Amino acid sequence: MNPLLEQFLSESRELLEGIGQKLMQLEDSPNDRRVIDDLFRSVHTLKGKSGLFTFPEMTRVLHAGEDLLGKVRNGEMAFSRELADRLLDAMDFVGLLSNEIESTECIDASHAADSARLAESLRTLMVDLADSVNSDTAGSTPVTTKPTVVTHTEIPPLSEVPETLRIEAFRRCGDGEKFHWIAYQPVPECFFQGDDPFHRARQTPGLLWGRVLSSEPLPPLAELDTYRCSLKFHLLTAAFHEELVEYFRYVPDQVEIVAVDPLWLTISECELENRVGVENNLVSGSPVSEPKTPPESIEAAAALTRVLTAQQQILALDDHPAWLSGRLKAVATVLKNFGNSLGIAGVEGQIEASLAAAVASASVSRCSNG
Amino acid sequence: MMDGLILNEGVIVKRILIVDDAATVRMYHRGILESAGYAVEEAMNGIEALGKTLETPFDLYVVDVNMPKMNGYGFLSELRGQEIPQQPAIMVSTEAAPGDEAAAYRAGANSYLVKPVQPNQLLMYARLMLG
Repeated sequence: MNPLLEQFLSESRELLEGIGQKLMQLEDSPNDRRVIDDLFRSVHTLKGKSGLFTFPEMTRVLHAGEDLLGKVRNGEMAFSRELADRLLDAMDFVGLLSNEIESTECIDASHAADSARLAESLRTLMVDLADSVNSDTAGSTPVTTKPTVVTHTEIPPLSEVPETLRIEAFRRCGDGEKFHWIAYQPVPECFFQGDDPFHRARQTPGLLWGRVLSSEPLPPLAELDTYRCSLKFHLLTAAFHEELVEYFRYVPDQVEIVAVDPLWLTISECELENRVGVENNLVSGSPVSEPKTPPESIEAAAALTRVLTAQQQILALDDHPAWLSGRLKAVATVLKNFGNSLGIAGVEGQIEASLAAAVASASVSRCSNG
Repeated sequence: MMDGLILNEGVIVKRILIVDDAATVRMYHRGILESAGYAVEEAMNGIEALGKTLETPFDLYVVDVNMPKMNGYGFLSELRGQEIPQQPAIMVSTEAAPGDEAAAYRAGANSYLVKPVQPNQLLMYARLMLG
């Protein structure tokens, strides 16, 4: 057997044994924070390890268990006998899969249905109990939980996709292919969870087109927190729904998947924009202004981010060379050019004013240093 | 002041200066940028680049690091010290050591790319920085 797989099985048995013991401990003392933390970490570790291999049946169940325990750990749900029973069922299933891996080095596809049923049972509990917590604490912020990757029928903003690509997709629909629209919004703290949303978006199976947007208004460049993820992704893919659910299995609550109706691809850009505009107005109460020339690909948006970050780094330099004023002017030129190409009105005046102040300050600083 | 080169038809073509001592690299970058409709000129080192710039400033500079006579850092700091319109500069280097990028920014570059630069990448950066 592959030594890595052997190691995984050995560790997973140890973790499963520990999980079983902790669940029993919690039945006696359901509010023991230390045990709840340990239990969450064990399930989280096991899920992470299973994800290193291609065992989606196992990962799916463990991921649901991890999410459930995360709610308990955060105080959003209380530990209960029912919760313990369902988790024990789930862990028995994981143990059964481990045995199968030991004898055959793989998991038979026939377990997929059981895996989906158990994961659903854990997630349903999460919704039910969260609802009961909400009804118990009327007036507090409601806890929203998406049971799994969401599929709905609202028309996504397909006008973002260049017409040539939409026509190609429509032609491929005629050949029997199906397309999905994905809205993926990573949590702001995702970088601290070892997540790489950009890589995940780029590696989306069957990716035909993608776009990066900002998930929140960006602060002034100097105040930008580069450790906070404020991105969201719009993706058009030719992959199957199941494949996408599997691919985004670690971030199901951050992803919405919409099956694209071929007719949506044929609607003129103008019509789509009108319809999307109406929807946006209904949601936000104000029209959403789109960039005049939006970046047409993820690569372009990434380049834009890198260039903007570079200007931020340049502005943050604390040296005072003789050419500082020219360096600042060049940054101002880049930012003005950005503003023009993105159709951001009025930015030029603001940049000029900031530049004049920065150049004056640089001159003063140079005089006092000299 | 109007940037770029005005053609007879009234079309404004952006001017880009490629500064590199390697003829093959200059040819490679020129081919990419000219195919997108930019007017490209070349210089083999920082001294030559500075001379051409002072005659008529460019809209974008694509600058190598290591060159004889005056290297890329020297050229950029001289460029940024001139009383001329300050336009964006991309530094292109074979180096990817820690600190190189910051050194490029200190000298006056606005962006830093590591060779070999893919055609799409160079064009994307040029378009972004030229507006």
